[in-house]
Parts: sequence; structure tokens; C-alpha cells
Amino acid sequence: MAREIQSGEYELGTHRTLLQEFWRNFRRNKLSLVGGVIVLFYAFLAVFAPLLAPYDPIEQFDAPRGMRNPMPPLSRDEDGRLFLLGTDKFGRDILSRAIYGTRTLLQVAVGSISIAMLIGVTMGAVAGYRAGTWVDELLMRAVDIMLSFPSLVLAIALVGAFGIGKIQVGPFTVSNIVKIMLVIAVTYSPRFARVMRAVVLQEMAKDYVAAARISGASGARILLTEILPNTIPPIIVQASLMMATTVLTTSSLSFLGLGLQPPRPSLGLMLNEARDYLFWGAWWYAVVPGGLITLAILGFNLLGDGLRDALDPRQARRRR
Amino acid sequence: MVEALLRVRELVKHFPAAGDWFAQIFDRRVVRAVDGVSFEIERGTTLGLVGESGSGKTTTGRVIVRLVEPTRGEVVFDGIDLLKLKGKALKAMRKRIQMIFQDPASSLNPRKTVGQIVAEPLRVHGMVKGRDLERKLVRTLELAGLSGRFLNRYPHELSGGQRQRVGIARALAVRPEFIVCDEPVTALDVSIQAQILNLLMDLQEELSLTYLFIAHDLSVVKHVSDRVAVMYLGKIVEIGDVNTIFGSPKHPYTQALLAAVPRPDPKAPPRKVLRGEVPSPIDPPPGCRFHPRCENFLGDICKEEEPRLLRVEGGVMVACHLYGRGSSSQRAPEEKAQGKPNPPEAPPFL
Repeated sequence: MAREIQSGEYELGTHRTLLQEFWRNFRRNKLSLVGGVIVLFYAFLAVFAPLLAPYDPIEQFDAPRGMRNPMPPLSRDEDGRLFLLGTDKFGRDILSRAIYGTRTLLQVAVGSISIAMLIGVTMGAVAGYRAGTWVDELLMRAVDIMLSFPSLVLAIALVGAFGIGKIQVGPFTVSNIVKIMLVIAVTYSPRFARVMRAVVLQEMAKDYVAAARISGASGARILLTEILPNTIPPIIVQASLMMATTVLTTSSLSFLGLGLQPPRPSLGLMLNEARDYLFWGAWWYAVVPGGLITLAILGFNLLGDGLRDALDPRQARRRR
Repeated sequence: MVEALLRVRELVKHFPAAGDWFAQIFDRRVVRAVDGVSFEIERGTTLGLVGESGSGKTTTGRVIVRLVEPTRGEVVFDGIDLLKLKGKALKAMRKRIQMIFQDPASSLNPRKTVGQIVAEPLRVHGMVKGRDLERKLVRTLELAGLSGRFLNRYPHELSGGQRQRVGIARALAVRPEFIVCDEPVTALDVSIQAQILNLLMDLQEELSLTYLFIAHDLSVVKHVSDRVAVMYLGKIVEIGDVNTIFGSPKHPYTQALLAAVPRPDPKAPPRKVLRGEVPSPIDPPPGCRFHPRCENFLGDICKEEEPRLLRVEGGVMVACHLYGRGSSSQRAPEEKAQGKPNPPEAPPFL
């Protein structure tokens, strides 16, 4: 039979892979590159904290004669040790504490976002796939209830319910840091559920899902192998934007004394301690942790916006 | 007559008009997408299903492939009641009935390669494994006119025509007997349309396929179909041999549809255009659904009594009071004389 076989040659000039396309879009926005650099800087700080910190973050140093802790930046103690960003009220090196504090902050933020993503994506995927049924209704009304609380208030309430410090769940001991991650994850998972449900609904309307069903694929197979890969870009965007919020919530909890407990270095706690010394002119005490928190939030927001523009062009256009 | 491969009887699909279950408590209205459709398709032939958008042709196709559960009705495929199938039996039946979609951009998963897309039905049914799989994939792609070099390409790297060929290859992978083609060339350039249509017709001959060909483009339907069914607001108004229907359309709606086809002749008289809009399928007109727009409106009978599909000369079935009930009411020509225009003559082209 005479059938013209089309070879694999391209018809319309050169095509780019999806990744190249993404990078081209992302690069175009200079601000998102700035965000990416900031986030990389924080990742570097967190990973190499033990190598970067000049001193042990909980070691206390005495102020030299004629000075008192907290000491201003660039001061030295009697043995000539240099404190680049000064010391806190107990004579601990602020630079070291800030580096380790950044590390814990990112640990909590990444951990809680991961857990929130796991919970939220599962909820949203099930609700979206079963849209219009009682399962969807149940999940989404639960999400509505959780979203009706301001997230920080909900987090405070949850910490209040579980208590400060580590908790005992049956035979398991949940450490304080894991507990905080779980609390924040529960607080933020509804947002992932909402985004996920919307994306799943959108994808389900496409014919490739119908084609998979006609092929005889099961519901779980369709959800996992057909739909899920197409939901990754909007979920990544959501995650990077939520990182900013989570950094703020984590610091706020610590600031209020409900999060990480001393002597563990934490940016929120440092801010809290610094409050008492602001009137004494110890600006470095508050500016260092505060600046680090602000810069992190800025970085994640810029990166998230850039990712959204590059991965999800339709949403980007709507926002402008 | 040869035993029909597919028999659809009194198929009804009503969608709730209101959005979610809560709104449905207060709003029990339904959209009558398909409202009593019956037809048969013989093995190895093509039935063209035409109608405007909203006429229910796509829903009919989707019920047959079990994407949409009908409200009522019967679909019998090769002696098996399709609508009663469940679980394993349904999965086995999916190997025999496949579908080609309208928009190849939406019907191919953008995250999968051509090879993965075509292999999916084979994997689901566990039909081919290992090294045989790739050979089978290449052979299937070649059936659809693509070379094996496409296996590792992503859909976004292909042109519209190539994408539609991938969609055809996916449908062919399990070697089905029956394919629902849902507007398979509507999204394509005119130059590509002919290629794809000829491919489908070659495949039909080679693999003795049976098609339900859904389209709104009349020239496309005329090209591929053996028989044609014309739908209007969820009902078939005329069904029969393609040449008879295109040569001398009986139903006023079919006549209007054919008259609306543009003619490449500057001296041709101006086209007749149907008055008004398609009424809402939530609240279709009583009696004959076409009566508010009909040029041959007969009076109360059209408003009150729903015409049934009846056989007229030429083996065509028509649902219109013009062609009367039984032998006593072959009264169309006389009744029309009362100030009503004559039925438009069939256009000479096509």
C-alpha cells in the first residue's frame, strides 16, 4: 500500500526541550535571577554552616575589660578573638548564631513545606479526581474551615494544644523541631490542596485522560502516571512562594517563644532577645537576624514569581 | 442485510443543568444532550454523524466508548450489551473499541514521548512485553504514516498533522475493530485534512475497521461515509445512504444544512441561512424540535406532535411531518400550498 511515511525530521526549524524552554523564560526576568541567587546563598549557608561559622554558636565569651556584652561588630575579646557581627547578651558570636539559625530555619521551612505538600497534594488530587462527590465535598469543606483561620493563629493554637517542647505520641517521641514542622505543615497543607484540586480538574478535562480511560487504565494509574506529572509545575511554584510564608511563620513562632527553644540558635529567638537591647543602641543584635529573615522572604518570593512566569505563562499574564 | 456490528437503541443522555449537588437540589432541570437516538453500523462501513455544535453528536460517541454513562438506552456491540459491562469484561472490550480525538494537542499527554503514548494501551492490557514492544510500536507508527524515529519525540515537537497521526497510532495499537472518530480533522489545516482522511480510509480497508465518524464539516463526511445520520438538538432527523441524502435531502434541516455550504461560484444565488439560533437543550421546543426555525412549518401538528423516524423512498429514514404518518398522510405537497414556501431544492453540487 502506498502510504507516505513521515520521517522524524523537524518541520518548523529547531525545537527546544521543555527544560530549555523553561530556562529561556526564566532568564528573561532579571528579578527572578536575583531571587535564585539569594536562595542559593541561603542553601549554601545552611549546608556549610559548620565550616562557615567561626565559633560554636552556644559558646559564651567574656567581654574585655571596660566593655559589656552585647559587644558591637568588629570587637575583640581579651584573647583577641574577632566578633565580626558582635556578640549577644550572653557573649555568643552573633555571626555564628545567625549562620546556624539560618540552617535551622531552612530545615524547618523545607521540612514543613515537604510535609504540607505531601498532605495537600494527596488531598487535592483525590478531591479533584472525585470532584462533585461527597469525598470532594468533605475534603474541601475541611480545607475551607482551616483556611478560615489566619495561619499564624492556627499554628499558635496547635502549638498551644500540643504544648511546648517535645511530645510523646504513644511509643514515639516527637522532637520539638519535628513537632513544629508538623504544625506548620498542617497549617499550610490546605493551600496545596486547593491548588492541586484546581490543576487536577483542569487536566481531567483534557482528552489525554479520556484516551487513557478508553485504553482501559485504572483510576489510580491515570491519576499517578497521566495527571500527576502535569501538575508538577504549578505545585513547584506554589511551594517556592509558600517557602517565604513558612520562613515568616517559623520565625514568628520562635519570636513568640512557641517555636525553637533556647539555647538552639534561631533567628526568631534572636530577634526576641534583641528587643530588650534596642534602646541601648545594640542595633546589630536585631538587624542581623531581622535582615536575614527579610532577605530570605524576598528571595523566595522573587524566585516563586519568576518560576510562575516561566512555568505557568497563563497565570503570569493574568497577574499583570 | 448484514448483521450490524454496532446497534444503538433509544439512547438518552441528560446532564444536570445545575453545577454541583447542592444547586441540583433546587434546580432539577436537565440538558437533553442526547434524547432518543437509534442507529446501526454494519461491519466495515462508516456512519457519518453530522450536526451543529450542541446537537449531541460528541456525547453519542462518548457513550459508545463508555466515557459517559447514558441515562437510558442500549448499545449492542457484536451481540454484547456494552452498557452492562464492568471490570474485566469492560477492560477486554476496550481493546475492540477505540477513539480518535478532535484536538491532538489536548489528546496527547505533553509529558510523554510518542513511544510512551502509543505503548500505554499495550501496557495496560499486558499485550506485548520487552523487545517485541518496540517492534510493535514501530509497526503501529508506520501504519499511521510515521517512522520509528518519532518514538522519542514529545508531542510539542510535532506538527498538527503528525500529532493526529500519533493519536491514530495509539487507537490502532490494540488492533481494534471499531473506532469512534470525533471530529478527527477539524483542528487541522485543510491541506493536512485530506491526508488524514485518506489515511483513515486506507486503514479501514486494510484492517477492515468500522467507523463512527463525527463531524460538522459536510464535505468531509461525504468523503468518508457510507451512511450519514443528521442530528439536531439530541435527535436524529434523517439517516440513510450518503449519496441519497446529499443528492436529495428530505428533512428541512438537512436541506438547510446543505444549502449553507458555500459554493465556489460567484454567480450562485445567495445562500439560504437558517433563521434564529439553536434552541436551548434544557427546554427544547415541543413537538418537532426544529419547528421554530422550519421553512416548511405545517401548523399545529409540528408544535404538538413529535415526528418519528419513518422510512421514505430511497431507504432513507426521516423524522418530519412533511412526509406524513404512514400511507394516509403523504400530504406534504398539498398542505404546503397554503402560503408556505416550497421545500428548498437540493443543491446541485456536492
